[in-house]
Amino acid sequence: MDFQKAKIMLVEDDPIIIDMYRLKFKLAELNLIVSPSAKETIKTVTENKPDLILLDLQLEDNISGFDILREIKARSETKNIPVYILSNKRERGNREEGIRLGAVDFLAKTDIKPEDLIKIVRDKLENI
Amino acid sequence: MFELDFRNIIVLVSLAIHAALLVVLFRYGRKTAGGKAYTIAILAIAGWIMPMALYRSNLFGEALLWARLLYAMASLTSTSFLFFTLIFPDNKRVPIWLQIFFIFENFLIILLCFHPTLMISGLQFVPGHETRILWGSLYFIYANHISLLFLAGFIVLYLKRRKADALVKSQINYILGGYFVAANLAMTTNLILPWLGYFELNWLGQFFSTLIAVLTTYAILKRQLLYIRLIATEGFILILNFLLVVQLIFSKSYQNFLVNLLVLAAVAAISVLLVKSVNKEIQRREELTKANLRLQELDKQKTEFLDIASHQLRTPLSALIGLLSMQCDGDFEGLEKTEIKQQQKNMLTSAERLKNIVHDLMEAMEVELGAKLKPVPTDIAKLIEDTINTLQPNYERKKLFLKYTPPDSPLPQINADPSFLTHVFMNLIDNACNYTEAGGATIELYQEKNQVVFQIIDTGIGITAKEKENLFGKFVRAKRAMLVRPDGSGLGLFIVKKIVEAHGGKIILTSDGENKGSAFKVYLPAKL
Repeated sequence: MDFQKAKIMLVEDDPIIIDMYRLKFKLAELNLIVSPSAKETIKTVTENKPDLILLDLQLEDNISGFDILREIKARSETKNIPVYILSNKRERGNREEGIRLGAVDFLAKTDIKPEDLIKIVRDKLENI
Repeated sequence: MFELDFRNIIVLVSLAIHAALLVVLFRYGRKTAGGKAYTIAILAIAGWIMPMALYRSNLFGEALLWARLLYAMASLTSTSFLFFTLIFPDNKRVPIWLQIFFIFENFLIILLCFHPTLMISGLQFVPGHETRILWGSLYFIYANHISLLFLAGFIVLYLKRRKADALVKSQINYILGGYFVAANLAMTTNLILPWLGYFELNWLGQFFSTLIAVLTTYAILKRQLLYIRLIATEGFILILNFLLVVQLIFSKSYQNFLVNLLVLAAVAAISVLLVKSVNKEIQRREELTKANLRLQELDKQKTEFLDIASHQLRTPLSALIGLLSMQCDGDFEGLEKTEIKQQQKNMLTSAERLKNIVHDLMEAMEVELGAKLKPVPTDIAKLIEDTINTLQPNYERKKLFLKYTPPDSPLPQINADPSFLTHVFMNLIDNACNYTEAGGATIELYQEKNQVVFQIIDTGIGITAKEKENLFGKFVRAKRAMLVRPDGSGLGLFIVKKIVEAHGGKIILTSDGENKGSAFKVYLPAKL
């Protein structure tokens, strides 16, 4: 896959984390679309058709990342998009739940440095 | 005369068992509405058993009256059962219109029972057989009333069983199973067979209901099985003392009488002590169970708190680690100066947020775990003026005004812990500054009835109705607030609310919405 054309979507609501990944992805010459609002995410996904989604779990009060993941995997036009959970909610069971719902992997934000994340994203995009 | 044939003995034994159940229920089942309703249901059954013996004996030659009473009481057993099923196990109140309807309906049925001809028109004594009742034309209404009410009760219980948790489900199993068997058997022997003219078994219903009453009482009191020991102890002591009294009465000589009296006195004294000690132990166990539950709840809260807290701590940490690792990797080289500055600012903000969370977490834990306030008579005006003086420079730096209107007349003192209360005002006045870009804040202090009111109104970003919902919760932050102050911990207002409440006060937030400013009012009880 042509990395220049690939679209990666980040579902995240913390402004500093967003700013960090914005810079890192820019330096890695990857397109990053940010969806800071859980409610708008599904709309943004269907409109932009990203090639890969990085999804936080803790979003607005009533909508969790799992809800969004379920929705993405339920729609025929989005179900094939690979989704990585990128979160700090590391309570027991969250990883299993995410993978059960169809996520590729659970990435802990504190453990995955931006450089590692770029590597994971590139590897995945290459295999699409 | 009262006739003590085998059948009546069974009926009387049933009555005795019901009486014993009533005593047990009265002592231990009274705590809940469901327990009370069940006690009434058993009382109705006892009230239905008694006239059976009287009717069968033709006591005072009034068998007809006893027959009418018998059927009137039977009507109450079905109504009380239905009421019980409506109340148990969630202790819900039965709507008043339903209560009135059933009381009225029952009243009509009882009237019917006592009508000279409509339901029971007479008796027919057949030597060597059970007395026959001659039915009136409306007996079918009575029969329908009983069977429909029981049926309704079964349906209600069955529906509740499906929604119940495991423990309640097993209780309902006993009750539903027991009542279903007993009521159907009793309805067959005492309602349907007599209708068809067969009276030989119409004393059996009382017997069936007894077996079942024991089972269901056991099921209902299952949770309070602890009491069984107390009941057993009391029963044993009662019998022992009773025997000693009998022995005393039948003493053969004066000397013998004295010895028996002494023994009785000693045993009675020990009995009292024994019951007391068992009682005390049960109380202690109950307290332990309660304390244990409370501990479990606290532990759950703590785990929940730690889960959220660790997540909250990790967010700024991941930004810090991420940004620092980028810097080490040389990602910042060749970037524009403004971009580098922005990212450095992000690192600083993350570090500060970390610091704030740790600080506020400690504070919140202290409040959460019920930190001991040390209230002293406090002059709230002085406290607020000091806080304003501390924070004034922040306002000046942002070119915001901070207007303070002191109270017209001196305010009554309040009972407060000054250090905790300062935290409240510090937080609210600082928030108003943080979340306001132009204009400023107005503080007022006044008395309203027995309360001292602190009010701060700002011209800041405001709070929408949706953001308001949970704003005093733990780690809750309005989205726009997060943009303005990314280093906030999300614990500030939670702590404020806890402290205000610990002082017996309340805090109210109003805002007309986005960018329309916010107003916080703190009410604190004045020292009288």
